[in-house]
Amino acid sequence: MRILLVICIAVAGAGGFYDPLTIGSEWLINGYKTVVSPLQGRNMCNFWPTCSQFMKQAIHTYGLFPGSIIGAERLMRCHTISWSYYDKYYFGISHNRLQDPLENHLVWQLPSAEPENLTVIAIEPEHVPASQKTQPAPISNLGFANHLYTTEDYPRAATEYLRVSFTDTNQAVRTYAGLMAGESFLKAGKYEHARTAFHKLATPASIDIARFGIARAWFAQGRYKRTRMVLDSIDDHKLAYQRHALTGWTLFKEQQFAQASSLFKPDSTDSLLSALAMLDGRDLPTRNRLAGSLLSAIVPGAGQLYAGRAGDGAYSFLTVAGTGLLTYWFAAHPDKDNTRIKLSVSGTLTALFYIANIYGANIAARDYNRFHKRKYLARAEQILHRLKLEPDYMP
Amino acid sequence: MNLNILLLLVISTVARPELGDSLFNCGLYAAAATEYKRALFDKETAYLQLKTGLSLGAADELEKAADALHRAGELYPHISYESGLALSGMFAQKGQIDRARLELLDLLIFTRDSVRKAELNSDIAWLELASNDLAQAGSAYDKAGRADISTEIYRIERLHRKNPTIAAILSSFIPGAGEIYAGRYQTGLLSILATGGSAAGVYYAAHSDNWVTATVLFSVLFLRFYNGSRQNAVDFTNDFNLAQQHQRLYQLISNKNLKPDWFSPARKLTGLNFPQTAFPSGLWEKADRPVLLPSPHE
Repeated sequence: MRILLVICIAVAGAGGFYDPLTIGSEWLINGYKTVVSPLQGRNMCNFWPTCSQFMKQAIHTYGLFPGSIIGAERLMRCHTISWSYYDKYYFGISHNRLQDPLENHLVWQLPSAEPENLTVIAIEPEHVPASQKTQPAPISNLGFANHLYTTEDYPRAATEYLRVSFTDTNQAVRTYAGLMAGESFLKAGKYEHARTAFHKLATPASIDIARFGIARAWFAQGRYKRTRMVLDSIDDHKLAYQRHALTGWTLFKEQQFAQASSLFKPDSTDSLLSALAMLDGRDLPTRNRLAGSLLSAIVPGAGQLYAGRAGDGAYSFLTVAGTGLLTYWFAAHPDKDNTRIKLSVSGTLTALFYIANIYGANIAARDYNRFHKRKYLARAEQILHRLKLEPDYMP
Repeated sequence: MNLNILLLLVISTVARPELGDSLFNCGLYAAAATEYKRALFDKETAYLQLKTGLSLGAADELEKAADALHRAGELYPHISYESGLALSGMFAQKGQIDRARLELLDLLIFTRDSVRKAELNSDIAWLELASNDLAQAGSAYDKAGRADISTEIYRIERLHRKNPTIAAILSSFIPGAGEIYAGRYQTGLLSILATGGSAAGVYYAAHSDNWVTATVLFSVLFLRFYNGSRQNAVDFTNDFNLAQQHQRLYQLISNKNLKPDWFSPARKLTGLNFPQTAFPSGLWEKADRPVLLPSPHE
């Protein structure tokens, strides 16, 4: 009967239901935050959200057992040496605290927002009503629009280009103005507007260049799969270079370095392209997450050390060893006062910190890989930013 | 009214600064800026640049406004006072105090009119108050010839009601006494209870030969509360002094009406009709006081 009750509580705690255990632990943390925490002085915790907030969020979101493991892992990282990892594994420093949100501490990945079934946007040729064609044209504003564009006032330039693209009599000027309107929107950061402008104002002659613009807008919004699909529909050989480079860039952004570098030839005449071909990710340092966890299971903190975080490793080792020694002491001296209570508290803490230490080693290895991939991507992007990807819109 | 103006905007293709003026007076600052820019593309004048700068600033495009207002001053140095003052006002209202001060200092170098110099100095003093530098603010008011205000500010600067060192010493001997000295009775009592309780726990454990328990209690509980109490005593005393200072400063500002009028010279010059609230403002100007009190505890 007792075992059944324990299993029920464990299942409820693991599932994150609002069982009395979860609610009780939240009350405990709230009590700590209002009564005990103010007595320890300001800036006691190194992180934001603070360890108590973090633990509360974790328990609220993932249930008592997973939440308390995630929280205990955070407690073992809350020490002064953490400040040296601020740009590697944390989200920088703001308001005098290390930024370390809860979302960054899950072993499993959240599903991506991008839908799988994509269709290429079909661009229809423009239909201009006959009445609009015969209207007398007012003075052209192309000069003013170009002036705004060159003085980097892109939102206003976009409006002016749109005005020209609807009012000018010359078809070539209208097409040019439409494309430039899209480009201005793109530079002003209004990607939805840019796509609409490229989509609606393209003519059969400029369809490929408009598609390239749409691809750039998707790229700027981080929709790399969509970008590649639009790029694949471009046939114009004049845009081959840009198309090629942008496809490679999307693959680099998705951190598929081998696939991305295979798009560029190592013996290319362009030194930038041959440099990109070298970045195939073979020299990328990686750490095995499972190996890290195993190491930490054998010696607490060894996994963190393996992932390049000596401070976290030392602190984890001290915490687990300290609580373990306490448990051993209380177990070896059962004749003292209240030893059963002390033994159960220190035993629970030891188990919690030990599991959290294994979990932390896994996360540490993941963060190590992420950091080095980010660094590698930055190296590739230094080159990619020097490529000329902007097409020439002049007819 | 607004609909008519929008229709006019849609069909207009020639430069017309009048349209810009009426758009500005209706509060459509971004559209007004476009019309002024269109007029500028035809012919560049200093007044048009000034109006462009004002409309850009009101449309929250501060960097472009700065370019336009600087250009206005270059084109016709006689309006550099109005344009520079408006520009530093925009920066000050956005809370970019350093930038605003830079613009004012730049103006001050080329101003020879002593009345304007005094006004500029008192504006600089206001910015120093906003960045919480009372000594600089006092000296700037001295330069502006406002000795009454500067003496008051110096007095407020020297105002230290409670001494953080005394608070730290008090808390070292009796944890919680320093907090009570700083006026935070609740935290002080709690601190006394917590440190006293943990010390009693350590004593009891040591007395009954539970040395391991005593060590754990001492390091995990007692030391934390003891150090925290001393830290809190110093922090709370500094908070108390700052709050006193800010209260006196707030009284001074409201009594002497120190808040500068950044935009009225530009308003007079351009004939445009706009309230000071047209320009987007940061937190401290909205609260109508120069500095925000620090929050007592997170």
